[in-house]
Amino acid sequence: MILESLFSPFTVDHQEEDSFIYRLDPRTKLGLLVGVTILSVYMNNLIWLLGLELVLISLTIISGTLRNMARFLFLFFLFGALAVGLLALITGNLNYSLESFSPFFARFGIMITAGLLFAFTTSPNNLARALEKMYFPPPLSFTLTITLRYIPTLAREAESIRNALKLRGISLSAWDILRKPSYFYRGMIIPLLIRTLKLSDEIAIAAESRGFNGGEGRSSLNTIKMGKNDLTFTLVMTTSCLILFLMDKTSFLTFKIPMGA
Amino acid sequence: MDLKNFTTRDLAFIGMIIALMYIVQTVTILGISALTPVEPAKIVVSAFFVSIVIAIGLAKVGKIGTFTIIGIINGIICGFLMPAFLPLLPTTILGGLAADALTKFKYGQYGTRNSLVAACGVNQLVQTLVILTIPFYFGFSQVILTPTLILVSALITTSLGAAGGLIGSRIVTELKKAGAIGS
Repeated sequence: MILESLFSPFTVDHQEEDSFIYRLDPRTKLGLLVGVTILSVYMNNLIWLLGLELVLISLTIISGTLRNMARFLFLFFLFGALAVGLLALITGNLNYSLESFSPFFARFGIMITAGLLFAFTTSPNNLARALEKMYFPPPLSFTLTITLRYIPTLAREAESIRNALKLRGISLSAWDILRKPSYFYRGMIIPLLIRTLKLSDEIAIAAESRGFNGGEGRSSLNTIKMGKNDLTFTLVMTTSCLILFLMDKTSFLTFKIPMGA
Repeated sequence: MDLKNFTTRDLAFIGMIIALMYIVQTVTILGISALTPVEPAKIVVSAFFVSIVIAIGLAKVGKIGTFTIIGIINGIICGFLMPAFLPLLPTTILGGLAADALTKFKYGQYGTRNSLVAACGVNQLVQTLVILTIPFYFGFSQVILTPTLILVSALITTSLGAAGGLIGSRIVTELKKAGAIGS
């Protein structure tokens, strides 16, 4: 398995996709993520929670990311099925198990779908730019950019070190890691750490030689700004969420489930 | 936390350390996934290895606030990008803040073995308590996630975090002898 492939879907720059959701300002999508998460906590009716989940799934279909997200959502639903099955086995009552877990999984499903939608339609660079616009301290923005830039690089380094270990007859299986953790940290962590130290020194020297002063007053060629699309999207989503919330509170189509049973 | 205390070299190193944390966490979790599908087990085992890396980062930078920076950046990546799981944002920030607060009041700064062990242990304790309490706000059943289970998990991760901090401080000593980290 190539380690870098585990990180690249999130860490490499997204290709400019021709989709309405991709072009939205990251702050708008961030607002959606936080908004639906809070809303899900205050909604109790399972039918309207599922309604909110359907709205989010529709957005993933519009953005063309449903296929990429499918495996993550599948794992989540598999975990849900396992939890329900386990509790049903313990209590001997499937209905009780469903009643106990349904609100939790409905709410977590909403949060995870919104989170994945944000992750798959926002490039890390755009996220960093959006955070800068939200008065995120420039030194932290610099650190975040370095982290996102170097995760794939260090993954490649780790892959090379692992291959070098294999060539020397040390294949790090899960059992080896548990049985002799020193194999893992002496064979893998220390060489990676030495590389990390060298790379960070090189970055710092390069930045300082170009007059970098912690990121204050740093400008960017590509800037982000809120446009008409963001406003329209915010209005539509706020209205949809408000309608779902009111439906939930007026007990229209009641199918309430005991909270945290 | 005064960010002006942090030089470009410190910030670059912290950024690289967080990147390294991801690699180590992913490799460990992948390894453990082959043995057990139980999620808490993966978190518990990765706590040890991640703490080793954090301890090395803390010892190299040495300034109060380092753990909070690690928590903020880690939280942004975990909450919005990598697992895209929003509750991890407050979890990692609170863990970092608690560790920094403890070190500031008890040890003054990072560097000694005890400060690294205590900081890594407290970070894991707070993170586990917060992350296992959040599901209740979403209506998770208390039949499976009982307070006793939360406390036991928190104690295990704290011990493993502290052990990771201890190993990390030993590695730092070796790296200092080798000249890779300034004494």
